[in-house]
Amino acid sequence: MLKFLEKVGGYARETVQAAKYIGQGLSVTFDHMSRRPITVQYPYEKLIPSERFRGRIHFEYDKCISCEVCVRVCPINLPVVDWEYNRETKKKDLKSYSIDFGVCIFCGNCVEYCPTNCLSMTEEYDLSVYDRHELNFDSVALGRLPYKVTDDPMVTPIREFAYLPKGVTEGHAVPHTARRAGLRPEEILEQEGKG
Amino acid sequence: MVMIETKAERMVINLGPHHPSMHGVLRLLVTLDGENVVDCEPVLGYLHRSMEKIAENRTVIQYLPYVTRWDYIATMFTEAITVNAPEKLANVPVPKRASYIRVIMLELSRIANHLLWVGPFLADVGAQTPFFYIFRERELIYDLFEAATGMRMMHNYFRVGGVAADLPYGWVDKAQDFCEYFLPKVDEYERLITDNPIFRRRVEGIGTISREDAINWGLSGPMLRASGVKWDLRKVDHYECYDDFDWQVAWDSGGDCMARYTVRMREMRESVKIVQQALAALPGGPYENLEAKRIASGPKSEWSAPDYQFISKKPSPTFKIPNGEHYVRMESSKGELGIYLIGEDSVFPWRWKIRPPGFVNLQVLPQLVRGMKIADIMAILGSIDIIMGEVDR
Amino acid sequence: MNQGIDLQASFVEALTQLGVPQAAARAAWMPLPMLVVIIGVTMGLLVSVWLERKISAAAQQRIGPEYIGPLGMLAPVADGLKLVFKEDIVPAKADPLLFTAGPVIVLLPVFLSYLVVPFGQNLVITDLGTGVFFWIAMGSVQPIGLLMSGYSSNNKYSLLGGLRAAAQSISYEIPLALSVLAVVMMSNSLSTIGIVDQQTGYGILSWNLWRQPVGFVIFLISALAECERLPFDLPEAEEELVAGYQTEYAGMRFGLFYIASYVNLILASLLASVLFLGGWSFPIPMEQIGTWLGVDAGGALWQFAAAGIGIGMILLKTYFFIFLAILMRWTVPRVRIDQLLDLGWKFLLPVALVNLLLTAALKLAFPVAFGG
Repeated sequence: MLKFLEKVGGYARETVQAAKYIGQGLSVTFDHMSRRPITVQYPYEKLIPSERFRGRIHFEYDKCISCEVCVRVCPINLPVVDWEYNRETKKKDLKSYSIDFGVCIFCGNCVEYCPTNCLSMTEEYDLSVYDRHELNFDSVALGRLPYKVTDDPMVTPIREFAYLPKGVTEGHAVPHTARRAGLRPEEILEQEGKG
Repeated sequence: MVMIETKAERMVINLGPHHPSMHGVLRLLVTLDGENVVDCEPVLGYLHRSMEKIAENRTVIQYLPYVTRWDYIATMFTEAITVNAPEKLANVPVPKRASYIRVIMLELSRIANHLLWVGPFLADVGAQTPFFYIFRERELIYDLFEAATGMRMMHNYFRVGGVAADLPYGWVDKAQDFCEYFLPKVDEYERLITDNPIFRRRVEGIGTISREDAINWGLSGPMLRASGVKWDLRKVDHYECYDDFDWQVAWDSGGDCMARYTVRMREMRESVKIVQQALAALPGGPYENLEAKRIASGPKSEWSAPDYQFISKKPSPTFKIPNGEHYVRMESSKGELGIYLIGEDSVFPWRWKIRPPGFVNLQVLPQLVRGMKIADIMAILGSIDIIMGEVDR
Repeated sequence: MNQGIDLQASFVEALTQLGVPQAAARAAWMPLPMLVVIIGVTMGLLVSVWLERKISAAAQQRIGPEYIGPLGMLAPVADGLKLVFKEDIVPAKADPLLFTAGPVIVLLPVFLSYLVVPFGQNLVITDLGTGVFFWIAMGSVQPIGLLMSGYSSNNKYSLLGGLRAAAQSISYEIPLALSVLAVVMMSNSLSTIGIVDQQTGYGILSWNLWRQPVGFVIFLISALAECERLPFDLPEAEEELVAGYQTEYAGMRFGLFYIASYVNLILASLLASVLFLGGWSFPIPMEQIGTWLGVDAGGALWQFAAAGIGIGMILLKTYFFIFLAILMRWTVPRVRIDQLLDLGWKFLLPVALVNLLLTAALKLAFPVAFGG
């Protein structure tokens, strides 16, 4: 009889424990209901891509020397560089340059190794088209600049975490113009000069 | 447990490659007796992209963007091992600062991976909400990665001899912010998950691997440590600069899914500790400070010394992998990630064998699920932490 | 105890005064409650689907449906429309008859059970003498439909889901019935109206919740299991069985399952509030408020106000339970099939039996407090 009662007591304790911990879990989810949603409502709000963001590649036709380094460092030799040797100037004349962004994986190797910096990466990331061949950008299309998120009156720009002021973890909490964490080197020098 | 032999015909059921909890494209042919699993046969190869063969006709620079596609959850590790292999073969020095940056990135990547393990694991046992919470924190890590590397997942950040670029302004501050923000969140997960009686009953004593079995099956990472083996390559191999930091190897002796869960939760806390120490001890300090010091002390300053560089020498596109062969390994978030590299003094490696931790850990699955219930397959598979991109390569 | 407003009587009376024969007036009344039930239940369904999406979103720090109507309130309507317009597919090797009958058999008993749900003294379609047991009996029809659809889909996931549904329904019906039985024993009535009437005497203090705390918890757990809500949603466990017995269903046939699950949740919550939280009764007795305010309790206006408050009260209590179920769904993991059956047979059943015995003993010992 005593053993039985002990068993029942153990059962009851276990039940109370279980109820307690489930209640603890419920309190966590309930608490979240009063927190600000962290989702970014995409077409109406957009994150500002970071300054190193590797979006669609920008190409400056006049700077290119047709050295083809971009082709050699590209994982799939993607850029198409069409050039002709000019005997008079003893230089290569670039006839056309194109990158197919339907195939590009935006690794940025071409930009990193370009000796004349004629390639650069923009912040453009929504490259949706109805026909994949439209993604094959020629030198003219590559020369276009994307529209800035901050200039779009339809869009609320939101900062990413790494560009928020110190101590702020949520982009919605501060305007996108708020100053990011960290001083600039000249400010540090100035402070040290004073101090 | 004593099982009553039923006369009923056994049912062969096909889980995957398209199944909500098969973590990508794993396919399991499961033989069922009612709700009990009699046998289980994994079928692999649905995500095979011949990553090893591709490596044989790519230079290291060309191949680096590929490697984040092996294990697309713990991306920094794949990059790190890809540069470590030729680095060690060619004896390329790595500056101290670059090594610290690497460690910070690797540990953040480990946290991101463990976060993206906890969420789906809980989803596998039926609780959907933690999945959303972990994404909240993972986003912050990925924002940090994006600021430093330019991409959230496919970083292409590690280079032979260092990293591609120094940390941007304010990055160290924000990384410290993240560490301070993250620890209370782990406590919150634990409040939500760890003691939940339903969760406990679903994972305790499920998928138990003994210490001997774990070693014999060649398991590594949290799978091995949860079985009571204190084996962490960060401590064993002393690579990068892990010896500079004060941290513990997270381990547990349970060997079941619960132990694997606790090991991973603890590992996240340890990783935060490592990141905090590395941020504080970063040679030269945050990038803006380093710049200021360089400006203040003019050209040829001590702050331009090799140890304060982010890369020793920018690798040329025709970096040659020297003659020789060796095996390089590191503790990825899933276990021992290794590369067996054979070079023949050419820009391309002759052989590039990948030892993925997920592939080796996955092979223990059929033994673990035999005799369990069908719902346990998901809990056990979830606790193994596989990424099919890495298993199939 | 006043009779409250009697809609049927007033309706028939109004018609007979207009010169309609009494029989015709009664016949004219008949379709009205049916219409009211169908419209009311549909509204409740839409609200709870919307609540599910909004509450889950809030618990996960999301926004949820936002642009379909104000606060996304038309999202469930859009869901429904989508389901209606989707192609109705019967798998090639399925049994078409059983496949179609399955969802209907699941849905019908749930709707029929609304016959006995009271919203006020006379705001009930039929005050059946067997009241709550009619509901339990109807609930037992459901697993047959689930089993049928699981079996006829010719899909192994569906079959497993159907079997799980049957096993689960059967094992949780017993503790559910036993916990209801304890209430019935105290109320000396099976009728839902009778059960509420017996709880109205002292306002909030007379609710069965205080006299049947254990029964209340058992009822909640088994009702959750009967509704196949998350800690017990094994039949449709997404991570294990893809969608269980619903795997092969699409279009409106799937819609029927979807409707049935939410309508069932509302029904269980309604009955929980009727059985344990005093149904439509206000925490302070309405008569008491009437006397304080000095209003004539028999006046039409007061009656009307009281009925309105009663409906509001029962909906409030019901949606409290629905909120709990939704929050629960987004908090806890799923139990395993053997743990589910263990909980049902080895824990809830004995506890419910002991609870029933205790209730009987208390009824004999303290007939005043426990409805002697």
